[in-house]
Amino acid sequence: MRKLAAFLLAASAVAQAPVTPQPVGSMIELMRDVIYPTSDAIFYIQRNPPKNDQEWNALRGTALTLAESGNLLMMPSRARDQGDWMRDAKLLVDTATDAWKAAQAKDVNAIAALNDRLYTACVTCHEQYRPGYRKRL
Amino acid sequence: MEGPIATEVHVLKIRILVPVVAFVLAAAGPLVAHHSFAAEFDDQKPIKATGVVTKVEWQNPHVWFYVDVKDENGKVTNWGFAGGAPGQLMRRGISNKAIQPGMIITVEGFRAKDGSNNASGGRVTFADGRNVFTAGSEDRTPDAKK
Repeated sequence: MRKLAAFLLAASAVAQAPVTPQPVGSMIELMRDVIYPTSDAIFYIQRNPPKNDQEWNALRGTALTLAESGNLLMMPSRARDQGDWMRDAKLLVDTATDAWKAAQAKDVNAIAALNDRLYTACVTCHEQYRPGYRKRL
Repeated sequence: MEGPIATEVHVLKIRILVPVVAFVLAAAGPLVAHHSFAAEFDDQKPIKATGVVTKVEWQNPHVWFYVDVKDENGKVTNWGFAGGAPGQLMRRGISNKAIQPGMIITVEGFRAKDGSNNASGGRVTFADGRNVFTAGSEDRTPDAKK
């Protein structure tokens, strides 16, 4: 009986231990494998606009992935600071959320209209935080 | 640089230049990130192509223009070239009217790493000999070694 009580107590302690989110991929991997391809689907929407429900469903998922990736950038272990970094990531979340809603509405023009805003979210952050960005020439 | 290109539509050629930019690699730091040159293009594979513009996509994050290029055997291949962002190009005085379908242009850049018919579009030379720098400011260019 004592062993059972001790086990339950230990299990309860484990269950109550705080779980903090931990990055799986590096920043480069997150950019290259998630944000890059998903943002391209939004940037170049007019190149290959969805032609059927299946393609719209895929784009909807892509836009949602991009929006959620902005949240991943705001994870404590990824955020460089609580100021500009968070503001830029929030712009990515908000813009991609609008793309997600536009994909739900199957509105190509609304997605295309987000091009400048999405570009601003990317470039503003890169200019401040990406080493060597636009300093090569 | 070559002089003004021929104006005959069908006198088109493509030449893959001998890689001569090894030192550029040595000078370049690690750069694998969103829409980066290094992630997409191979600076060991310069390309210089002349052909007829078939389409222009003037949009962020990269302007793309497509060129029908005829090789020495007469086979026509449509190449896509990625330039800088529209805002970058406009600040250099390159408007969205600068490159139009039907124009004959020569493009210098670097081939895509994935082996597709895509490349970076570093510099465009028009039929009258004028040339414009179309690469993104962070991109490498064929004459970066100079």
